[in-house]
Amino acid sequence: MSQLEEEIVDFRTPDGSNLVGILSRPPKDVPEQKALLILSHSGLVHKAGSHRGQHNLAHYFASRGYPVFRFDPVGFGDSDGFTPEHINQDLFASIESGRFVSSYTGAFDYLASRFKDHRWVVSGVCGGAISSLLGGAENRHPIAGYALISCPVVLDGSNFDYSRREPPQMAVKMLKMYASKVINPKAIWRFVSFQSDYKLMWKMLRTMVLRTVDKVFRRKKKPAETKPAVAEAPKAVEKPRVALSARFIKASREAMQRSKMLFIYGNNDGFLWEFTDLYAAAHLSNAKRDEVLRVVEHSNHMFQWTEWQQKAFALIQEWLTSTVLLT
Amino acid sequence: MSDGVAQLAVGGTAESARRVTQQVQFLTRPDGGRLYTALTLPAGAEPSAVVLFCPPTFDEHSRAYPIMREYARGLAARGIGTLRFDYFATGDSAGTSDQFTMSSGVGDVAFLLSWLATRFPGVRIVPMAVRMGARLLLDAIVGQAGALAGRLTAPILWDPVVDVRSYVFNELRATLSGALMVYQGQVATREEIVKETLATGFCDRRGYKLNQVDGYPITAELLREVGLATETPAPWSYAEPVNVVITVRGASAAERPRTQLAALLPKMEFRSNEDIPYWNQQPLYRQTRDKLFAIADECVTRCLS
Repeated sequence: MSQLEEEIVDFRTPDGSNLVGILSRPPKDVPEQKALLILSHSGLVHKAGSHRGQHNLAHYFASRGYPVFRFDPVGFGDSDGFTPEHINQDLFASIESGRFVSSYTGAFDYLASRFKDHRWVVSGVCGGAISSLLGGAENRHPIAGYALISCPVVLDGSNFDYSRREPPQMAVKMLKMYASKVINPKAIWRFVSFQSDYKLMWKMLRTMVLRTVDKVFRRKKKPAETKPAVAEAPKAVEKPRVALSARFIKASREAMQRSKMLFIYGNNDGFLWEFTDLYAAAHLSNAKRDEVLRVVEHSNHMFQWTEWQQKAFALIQEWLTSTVLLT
Repeated sequence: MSDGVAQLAVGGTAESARRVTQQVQFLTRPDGGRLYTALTLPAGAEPSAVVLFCPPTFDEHSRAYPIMREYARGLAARGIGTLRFDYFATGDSAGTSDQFTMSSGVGDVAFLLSWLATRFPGVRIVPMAVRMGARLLLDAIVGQAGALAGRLTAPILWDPVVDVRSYVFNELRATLSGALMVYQGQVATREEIVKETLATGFCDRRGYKLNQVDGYPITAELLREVGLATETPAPWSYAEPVNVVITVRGASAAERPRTQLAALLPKMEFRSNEDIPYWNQQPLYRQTRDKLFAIADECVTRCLS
């Protein structure tokens, strides 16, 4: 098989920023499919992707006949612009609120001149997934499919309380892992010699404690007690808990009405439980949830290991051929 | 775009955007391997000097990316050009990840030094590197001779990794930590990963290859090159002057790396920078590192004076 072709391109956003992208084309001896995959960043990493995942995705699909376009949105990678100093939670919040919609408009305008006859499928990992969802749903260009990996469904922000974010299922998994080592002399030595990840252990323990407190509190609290007869003086301002993102709900509803959707998560990723317990439980029927959701066993949030990446790519390919390209 | 080169005016502010331009292109090695490169230049003027900025490896590469970019843009605004790049088989360059080797990385650096020398004749070249890029850079410089060698200043190394044997072996610990979640227990030691990979090319446990760091394959060839195939590593040192900047959380933490590096870099000029490490943090938490950039600027000025 001959080499696939890669081309560096630049294009402009409607507000005049110059962005850089890479177009991967199938090798000459592989028939080109009429579907184009589009993706930008991966979490907070530029177009190559965390653990080189997006480069690998581009090569996986281009070698199977699908052109792939990945680009750096404004302020990321080698594109124009600057991301001002942020608390990461606020940077995530801005991404989840459509920070890069304009970058997608620029990419789509550019691609329209070259791939008008292709079906467009947007993809991405973590922040890149929500950017692709918002970029696709909030633009005029028709998107045939959304293949979103580890897509956040909540809205981040330093103004939110994260203390209860970690799902108990993940905390149990982690604590079981540590529990399995309590009689391991090496592990004990690491623990007493300050080499263990105490921060992680405390985080998991705290999750379990807080959830238990919540449970007990809910049981003890009677309905009458929830409405005090006399107004109390306001307590110190409490941060609201991290909750579902209204913009995600709206965009995913619109995308599901117009296009095909696929959500992929690893089962070692707390985002999976946020998707199922917060989003799907409230907004999707069980049948719809099962239709759109695929889980890669053992994978973590960023699909770090090559084997997990390959499984996710295979799921996308199967979905493309069985769903997107059939309609 | 012209001739496969993306030309951009870049910068955080309108003023700096006017002063800086960037050319993103693939450069092809003599053996045909294509390297993703970004050349940042002062707009409308030839640079007074050029920097070859060698990135870290594995996922440190993507974490350090925004900081390297911002520093390159800052240099260009002051008249100094910078070439950044991805090693073959890493980042956006061609090649599958298992094709990355030390010798390939060293070859990339040597090739790009020559490219810069041809592209900017008569201009001094400042070799600069971050983390494991430092070792690749120093090994490439050792092989330089003649006119090109005469144009190179002393290298500037940010948080250098020069003992690559220990580095790769230590990084395997993170792989095993990740594996704990998969297997809910320990299935291999680092020594077993090294031994099996050297013998068979990989270390497989229930369908997953553990000979990897951050998802990047650690091949038998790479293990041999970093010295993990033998009980004792081959001696290595760099006898020429180098500038080293080490980022530490507190001033007292600088002594240990200083001592370790001094053994391998005897003519080292050492500076420490109190800050949060940038190569193992999520990127963009803070793109600009004023103190780090100021120290690096001081090194560049000294090198060019």
